[in-house]
Amino acid sequence: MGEELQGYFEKIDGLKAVTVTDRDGVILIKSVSNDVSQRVLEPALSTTFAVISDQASKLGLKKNKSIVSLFGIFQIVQFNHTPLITTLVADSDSNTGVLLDLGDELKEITDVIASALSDRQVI
Amino acid sequence: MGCCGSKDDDDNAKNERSRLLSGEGSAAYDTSHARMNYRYDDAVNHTIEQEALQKIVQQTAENFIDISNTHATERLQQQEAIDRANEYKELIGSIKLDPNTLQKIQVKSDTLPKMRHKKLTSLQSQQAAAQGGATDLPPHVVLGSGGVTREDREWLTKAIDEMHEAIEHIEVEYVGDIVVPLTWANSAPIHAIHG
Repeated sequence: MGEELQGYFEKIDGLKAVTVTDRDGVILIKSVSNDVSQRVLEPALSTTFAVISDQASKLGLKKNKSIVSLFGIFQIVQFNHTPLITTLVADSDSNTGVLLDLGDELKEITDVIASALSDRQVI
Repeated sequence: MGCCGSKDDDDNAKNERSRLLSGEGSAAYDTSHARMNYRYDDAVNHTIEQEALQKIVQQTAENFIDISNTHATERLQQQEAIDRANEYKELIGSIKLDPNTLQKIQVKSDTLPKMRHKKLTSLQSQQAAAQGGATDLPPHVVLGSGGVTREDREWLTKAIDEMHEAIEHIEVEYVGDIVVPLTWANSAPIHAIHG
């Protein structure tokens, strides 16, 4: 499944990494571009997002769907696809709108994985 | 002397003995009731009160926004992380994306503008070939088949700047009036036409 994700790197300017993890940061799927360090796979990214997304859902704006974090060299777009978290890491000047769209597209994949996960746990 | 007659359709005030305030008899009734069974109700009320307070506390805690846990999150134990990772690897391996979803994802990723394509026409002809030589491409293929690359955008900006500069340098040479007044017969201009 990482191969399909690999296709997105050529299409989206500046995309560096795509990961699907659980709420503790354990990676399920990852696709990382060659020119970025493995530190983008840091579990703390996901665990922090999990906590913040839960708290953000209490703001009275219904459930939090995604959070965009802009830094000097990177931007990180994360999606709350309970029980999974999708993380996209890209250059800070990448098109955030395209990344947000990509996350919504990937929801179809994460839904499949999430249901497979829940089926397994029932067993 | 006078008679003030008013039509009173009020069903509530049936006679002079009926209650003025509705109250549904609750307040007055309960107080007397409580007075009769004081000790028993006190315990019950206390429990009810405690439950209500507990509910309020719980609701407040649920709505309370607290981000201090972000620092306190425990890092997953190395071994457990590894075990889980292996589990997930197995899971992902076992998932078969149903062909519809897969096709949808692939089509979507194909319709994203490519970063390095040079000629739109060659791409279209490639897709036409891929579709078995169909010459009529459906709208979503044509519209999605290529976008404006960064190079194209830069070229376009540069070209427009050059055009703008060229237009600025257009010079107009005076060769005569554009607007010529017309006058009647004996005056020069029309005379010239008749002549």
